[in-house]
Amino acid sequence: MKILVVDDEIDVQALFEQRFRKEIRSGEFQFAFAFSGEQALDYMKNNHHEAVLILSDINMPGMSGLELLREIKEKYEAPPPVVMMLTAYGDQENHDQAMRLGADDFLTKPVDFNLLKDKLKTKTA
Amino acid sequence: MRKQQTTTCIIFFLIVGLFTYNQKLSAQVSKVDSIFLLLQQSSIPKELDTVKFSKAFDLIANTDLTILEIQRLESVIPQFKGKQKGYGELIKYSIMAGNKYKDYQKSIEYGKKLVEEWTRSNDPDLILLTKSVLSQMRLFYRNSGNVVEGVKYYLQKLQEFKQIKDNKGIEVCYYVLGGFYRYMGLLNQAIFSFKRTLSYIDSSDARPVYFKDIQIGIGGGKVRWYNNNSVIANYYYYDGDYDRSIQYARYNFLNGYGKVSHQTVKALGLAKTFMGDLDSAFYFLNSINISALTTNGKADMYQTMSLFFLKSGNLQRAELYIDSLNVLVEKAKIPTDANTGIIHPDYYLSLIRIEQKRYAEAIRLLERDNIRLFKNRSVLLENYLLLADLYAKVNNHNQSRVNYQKYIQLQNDIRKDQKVFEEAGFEMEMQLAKNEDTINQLEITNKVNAATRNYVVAFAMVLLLLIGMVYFRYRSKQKANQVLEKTIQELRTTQQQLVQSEKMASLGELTAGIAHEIQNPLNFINNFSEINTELLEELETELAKGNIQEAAAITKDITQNEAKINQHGKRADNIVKSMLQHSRSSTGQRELTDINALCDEYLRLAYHGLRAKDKSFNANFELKADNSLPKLMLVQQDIGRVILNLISNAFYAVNEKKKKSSNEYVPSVNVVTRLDQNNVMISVEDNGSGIPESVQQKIFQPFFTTKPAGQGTGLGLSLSYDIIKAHGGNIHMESKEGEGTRFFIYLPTS
Repeated sequence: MKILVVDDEIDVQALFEQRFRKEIRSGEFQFAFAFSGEQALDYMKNNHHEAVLILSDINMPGMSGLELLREIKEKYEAPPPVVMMLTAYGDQENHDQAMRLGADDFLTKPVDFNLLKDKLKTKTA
Repeated sequence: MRKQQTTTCIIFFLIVGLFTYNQKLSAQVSKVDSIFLLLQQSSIPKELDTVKFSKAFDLIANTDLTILEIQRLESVIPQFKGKQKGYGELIKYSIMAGNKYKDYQKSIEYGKKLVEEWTRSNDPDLILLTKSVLSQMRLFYRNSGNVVEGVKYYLQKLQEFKQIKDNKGIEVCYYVLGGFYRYMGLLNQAIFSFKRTLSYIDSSDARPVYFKDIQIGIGGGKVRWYNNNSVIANYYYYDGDYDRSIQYARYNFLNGYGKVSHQTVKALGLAKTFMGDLDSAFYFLNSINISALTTNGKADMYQTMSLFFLKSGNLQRAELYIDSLNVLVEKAKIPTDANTGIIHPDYYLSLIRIEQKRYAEAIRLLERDNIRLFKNRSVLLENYLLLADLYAKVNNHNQSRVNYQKYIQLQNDIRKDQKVFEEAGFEMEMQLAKNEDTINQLEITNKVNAATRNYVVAFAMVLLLLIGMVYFRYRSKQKANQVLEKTIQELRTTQQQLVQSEKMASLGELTAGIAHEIQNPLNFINNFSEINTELLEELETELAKGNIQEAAAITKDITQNEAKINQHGKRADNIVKSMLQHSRSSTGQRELTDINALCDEYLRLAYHGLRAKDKSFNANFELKADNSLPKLMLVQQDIGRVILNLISNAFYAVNEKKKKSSNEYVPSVNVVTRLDQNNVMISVEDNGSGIPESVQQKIFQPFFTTKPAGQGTGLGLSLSYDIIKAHGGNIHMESKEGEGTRFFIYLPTS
């Protein structure tokens, strides 16, 4: 079960690796990290269909998370991977736009990691 | 034998031909068939199958129909009986709204008929639907160029709605009238009408217009309110009243509507552009995600961006946007009168050509624009004037005169109309005018009679009539005044609200920015400290078990996390410090300052500061000082901070490039001072990687940074900008990707 985390904050990698250390150790989850939308697309291209779930920030320099979402949902063959948006801007417009573009879930920062864990488990089950 | 072969061949082709023809025919037939079938199936006894019906409804909207096919569909309507009758009527709406007869006049008649029928129906759903019909019909009036007829019709409707106090109806009428007036070039009336719509919208009602459960036509409540508000902002922009344009658009922007309404962003961006405030224009224009807009919205934003770049002197980018626009117009077949406003790439490209002094091409483009938009007077007015000027430039004085004449003629026409639809409260005025006519007629009749009647009686009559007239005028004027007073009162309240929101604006924008910037490091701090608590518990367990190796691994993680907590704490600290610097009004005293000494000091300071942090760092640097510079009265501390900031950035840039380049690259930073007329110029130049063009416009914005998250607050340059402006100076930059960047500061000598 591979999860691709997309965020421009580099320390997000350390954070996820620590927060999910038990799940990573047991092999339940595997994580990959991209620090921009462009990097995420590259990753998807190079590791064809490996990531089944993408967890993306919205507000990033360059390609935004919403553009990434659109790109993935439009261009990747069926079934497109599950995409969950993770943003500090939890306003209605952002939410609605993400949903219109086909986001599978919408979480706001600060992340409730227990909730996220549950969601990841059900989404990937 | 040969003959037989030929005949077989011909027959074969005939069959093939017939076959393909039949296929084509059946493809079209099957589409109408499927609509027909869906409609029939949806109308099952008891409950209507709304899923099937909606599907059919959508299909009608998207299918080209022949007259026969329309009639076939209309034949299903009687099947919808009793409670379902309304849905049958909805099919009529769909045929009307889609202009299925492809004849504007016919569609107008069709629409008028529906409005009359449904108004009398006593069915609240259908009565509501008349508003959608009225809104839709405006396009037909406009596209057929029959706007004057339209004004008459909607003014009459307006009176009817006012009598029965139907606010939604009144609102739609003002909305349509506003658009018509704009089309006729009567901006004052257009703005007035749109302001009136604001008082009739129930902004607590957020629902779009539904027909039972099927969504159609105009949006509801709050969204509508914001939309109309943004229309007003745009009209003020067209009128050249940029302050008011910004006031109205800003109100939307602050309420979060800017994110979805490109009209709001467009008004803000263009008004700021024409006021010469390019930085904030770019900030607003950039705040919307163009790729997420509808096709028409996208097209409108392309031409807006083009105009912005034209005014910023970046002709290349301006033209790129027109290229994209042309592709889009071609691909999506966008009409000249799209619902977002006039889309005309030719006009915008001509503006670029004018700037490039390619006048002949500009003329060709504008002439073509005139042909496409020959009905739109506000477009023509501007084009004629441009053309007159252009023809003069290419020495075609005859054409120049012709265009001037056209311009003046059109202006006269518009002025005439303006008189017809007098200023604010002009309907009331129109009513007055009508009453006066009646009085005049009476007067004439009486004059005729007077000739045959007793002189005295006639005199008394006229006197009475005069008194009556004066009284009548007085009463009517009083009524008109009451209406005007109420309008003024409403406007005043709105104005007060706007002033208040303007005051809150900068505060709001700032607070949101700070909150978000600080939130990120705080999240990290909280998270890592929570993880450490968990890890410490684990450590205790492992130690109790005597598992030293595992315990050592956990300790390493804890130490690492501790470092992260510290790092993000400092980051938050830095942001707060910079914010304070930003907001603190400068208390520093101005004193006579030697710019050369200041540059020298900070160049060394920056270099050694970086060396202290990073031993591997090295770069050439030089100060080329103009020793004839006069001393300037400056807040030394502030200007010093700006110079330090620019120099540090330059060193950072060359260092980054050095990390990526071969050994041949020699990083260097040069500071130059020079007396340039009445200014002292300071330039800071580096041979780093340069700043991409897409980023150049943003670099003076608060919180904008290209450094990785955590390394820069994004406030340095915006702070510098404020300081230089406070000294009455100027700061700008030039940059080439791959070659380097040069910042220029100009400070006035007196």
